[in-house]
Amino acid sequence: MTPEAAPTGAPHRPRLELDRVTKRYGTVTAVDDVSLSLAEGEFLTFLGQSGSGKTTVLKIIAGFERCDGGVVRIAGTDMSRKPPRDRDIGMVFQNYALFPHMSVAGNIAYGLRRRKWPAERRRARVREMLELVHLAQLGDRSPRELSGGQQQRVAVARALACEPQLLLMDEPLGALDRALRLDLEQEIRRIHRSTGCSVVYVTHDRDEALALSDRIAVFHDGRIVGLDQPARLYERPPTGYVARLLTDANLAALPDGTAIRGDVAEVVLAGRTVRVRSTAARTAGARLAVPRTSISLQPQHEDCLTVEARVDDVIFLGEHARVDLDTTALGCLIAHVPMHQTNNRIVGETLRIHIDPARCQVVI
Amino acid sequence: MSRLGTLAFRALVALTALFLLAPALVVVAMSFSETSYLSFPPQGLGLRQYRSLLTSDVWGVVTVRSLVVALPVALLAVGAATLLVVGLERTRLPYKNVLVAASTLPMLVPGVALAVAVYGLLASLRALDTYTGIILAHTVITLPLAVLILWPAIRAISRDLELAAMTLGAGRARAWWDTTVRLLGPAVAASMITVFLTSFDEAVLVSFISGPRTTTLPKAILDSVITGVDPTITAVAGLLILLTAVLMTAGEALLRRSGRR
Repeated sequence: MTPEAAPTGAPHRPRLELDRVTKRYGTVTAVDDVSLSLAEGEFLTFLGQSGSGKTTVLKIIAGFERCDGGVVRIAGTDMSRKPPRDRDIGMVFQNYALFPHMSVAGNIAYGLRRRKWPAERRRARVREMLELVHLAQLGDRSPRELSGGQQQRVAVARALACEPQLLLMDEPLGALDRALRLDLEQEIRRIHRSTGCSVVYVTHDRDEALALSDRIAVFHDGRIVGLDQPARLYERPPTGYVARLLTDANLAALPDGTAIRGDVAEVVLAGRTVRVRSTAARTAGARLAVPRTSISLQPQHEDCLTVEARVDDVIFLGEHARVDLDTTALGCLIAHVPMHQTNNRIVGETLRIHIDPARCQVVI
Repeated sequence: MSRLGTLAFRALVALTALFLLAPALVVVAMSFSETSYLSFPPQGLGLRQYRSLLTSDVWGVVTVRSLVVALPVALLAVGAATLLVVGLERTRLPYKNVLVAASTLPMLVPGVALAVAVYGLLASLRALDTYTGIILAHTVITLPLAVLILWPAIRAISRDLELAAMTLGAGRARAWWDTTVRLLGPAVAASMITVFLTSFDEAVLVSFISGPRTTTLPKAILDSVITGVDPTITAVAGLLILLTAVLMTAGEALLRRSGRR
């Protein structure tokens, strides 16, 4: 072991580093060359659909799976070949995975027992953790007497009891209904803030990812296709996939005559040439990402592109309405417009819509 | 349901229970008779049959023989079934349900047909009238019972529990012991009770493959009824009913505990 690989790891060292991690099952590459690092206290979310490789990477970090290539370092120590026991991690599972034959307090104390904490400190720590998750009165209960949300809070307390270097959460809100999910989301934010723990969080729910994360890593086909702060990923998605996943953006075929110069594309539309941000290197395969909220039914400012569109449908969603449009210039588009700007009498009409090019982007 | 309907339903349930329990009740009542022959209704009320059971040298011997058979059978059948279900549940073998179904096949073969086949096999191995032969034959017929109890029990234990224990500082073996083994324990005990009772009580196979040296309790009861009518068997039956009821209740309680978890 080299001197740098001291188990406690200096504070400036990333809590977690993945260096070119790869995992294959037979001929299928489940995780393909994934590299990233997580700063101390950072909340990083792996966002992706099922089969995107996000859960496999989490299992590799936890030590449930071995990677075929690459290195996993936790607090500077190479953990790639170490069993989960030695990785100094806490884990929260989708289905809680509380030990049904132990009380709530027994669950939280389990890791402390395994790590040989003396009984006195153990009791104090269990009390402290129960207070952290606001379950101070329920230590003697059996897990099955608790609601789903309470059970997951016990699981968080259990995972954090030993003060792990890293907290891993595998879709922790996936088994809860919507109201509880929002509650627990707030709880997780609060616990993260008050403990300063470093978190890797796996989810397929973009609202969760946007609300909780310091940074989001978007997984697609075993690769990371976007890694940035939520607001930046949302405003400037690096690829069409990220745009669609995070914002439900329309992905329209590029009009003929579009030219890309560096990070700007000149798009010829409605007889005008407009300059649009671009992350694509060339026009082949590239598309124009048009966010739903960048389309308006009323004239905005003069930079807006105005195109003709037929209204196919108007669906009320609460604060805004979804308007399905059919344009000759950009094909079918979906717009989200404020409720007061529309009504369903416009279905079937052809009208002029206004697109803000500053919010559009050419993506691959 | 109307009040009358509810009443009729309850009466039907009570009658059914009575119908099922009546033979046992008759035997128990007869066991307290003071006569030297089988009598119902019992004449006199006393423990004569139980005294003669305790002083007899036959019934004690055959009871011990039944224990010598049933205890190893419980260990063997439940041990094999536990290995089978743990292996099936914790690996990525295909066709798991087919393998489970195959392991319960001995239950589908009619008992007498199986007994004839086992008789032929043991005869060719010169293993008739041996404990080994009876124990192995009983293990075969009770294995399905153990598998049928243990398979759903292990399916109900989430693999994540072991993984959670491992992230909390337990090694692989320790994690397995603290979660899967602890949680499967009640079902293992319950299946041992069921297998033990089945083997202890089994009369068809032993009629074919036991002999003078290995006559077990059920066979001895059968023989005593055929050869003469010794009222002592009512006491034997009474005690058997009591033992079965106690053990079955314990097994049920264990399973309910493990099912709730």
